[in-house]
Amino acid sequence: MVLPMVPESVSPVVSDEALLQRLRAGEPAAGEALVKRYCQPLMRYLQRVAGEHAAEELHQQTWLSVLDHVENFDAASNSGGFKAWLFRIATNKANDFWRSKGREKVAKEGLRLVIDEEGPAAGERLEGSEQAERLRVAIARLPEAQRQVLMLRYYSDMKFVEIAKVLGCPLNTALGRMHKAIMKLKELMGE
Amino acid sequence: MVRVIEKLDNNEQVLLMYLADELPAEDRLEVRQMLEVDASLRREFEQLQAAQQLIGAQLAHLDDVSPLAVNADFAARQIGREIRQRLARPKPAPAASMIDRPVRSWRWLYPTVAAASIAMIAMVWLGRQASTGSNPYTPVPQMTPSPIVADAQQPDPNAALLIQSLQPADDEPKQVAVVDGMPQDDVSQYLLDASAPVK
Repeated sequence: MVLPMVPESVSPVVSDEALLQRLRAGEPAAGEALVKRYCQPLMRYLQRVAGEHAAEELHQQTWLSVLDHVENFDAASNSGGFKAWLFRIATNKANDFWRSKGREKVAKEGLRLVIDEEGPAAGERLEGSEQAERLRVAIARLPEAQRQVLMLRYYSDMKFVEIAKVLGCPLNTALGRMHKAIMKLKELMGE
Repeated sequence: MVRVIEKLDNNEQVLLMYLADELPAEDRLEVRQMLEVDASLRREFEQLQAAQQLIGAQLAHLDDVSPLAVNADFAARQIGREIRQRLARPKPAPAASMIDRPVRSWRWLYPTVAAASIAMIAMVWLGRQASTGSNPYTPVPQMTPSPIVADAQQPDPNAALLIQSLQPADDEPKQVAVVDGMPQDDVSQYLLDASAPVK
């Protein structure tokens, strides 16, 4: 039986800021609603920038950090609102993860370790999707700075100005990295 | 006011902002006009647009075929449980405000430091006085004489009588001192031996 679609006019989406206010007031359901809203894009982002195996742990760390600092978050002073703040926390967690893993060592080994770590588990192999696998490998081969900009743009749908603030770089730099990432991916997928 | 286009470094960055629809209306109009007249720019724009669309489609396909590491409902329940645990924890007692804290008076510090300094100076001064010995209040150890020396200083009454008997009067004949049966010509010699212990 197919359930009828509920029109948006009947069930309006509660804004992130409204959910945050209710969370601050001690309503766990508001926190759960935020987690559900951002679980998929946040998990995908972390999978692409930090790897499949670390994504789950980093996802939980991100939300725990949100709970730790929710009282101090001010939407008015954070351009991009809660979404930008959430992805900034996630990006910092991913950076910390790479720092602890020894980023330089990974780079010197020619990304082989990264690709091996990011390989799908035996029970989760991609079937009949060779091109998808090539894209996954191509993304893993991107320099970290380019990979972050590209994945932030795609999964968070933030503006480039907001992405630049999340990454702590000028707008020109973020755009330059984005352009290089697109050209590099296009080249790698065309191999 | 500096326009957004003027802040960007090259055509690629302008085109990216144009594709993202993030340029102000005035800048969008200018880019559209440039695309109409510049064929190479238009070609570059079309390649960039096509590449973005291809990557977007491939990413969507990659997401479709690769499962998420965690289920959204499961993750939401985990965080919800964490929130409830935090709400159930007793809140720590608020830190005492500056008004509630007892006023710390530093007024006792200065007299204490002054008293300590005076005491240290006095101890150093007394120590130096003791080392030089000029202190009238420092008792001078009394030197007690040894018993042999003390006896030597006492006059021998027997020696005094013998000397008196040996000294002749002016008109009397010289008498010869006899000591222990021995005539003594030399009184001096006898006097010198007066301090000798009597046998």
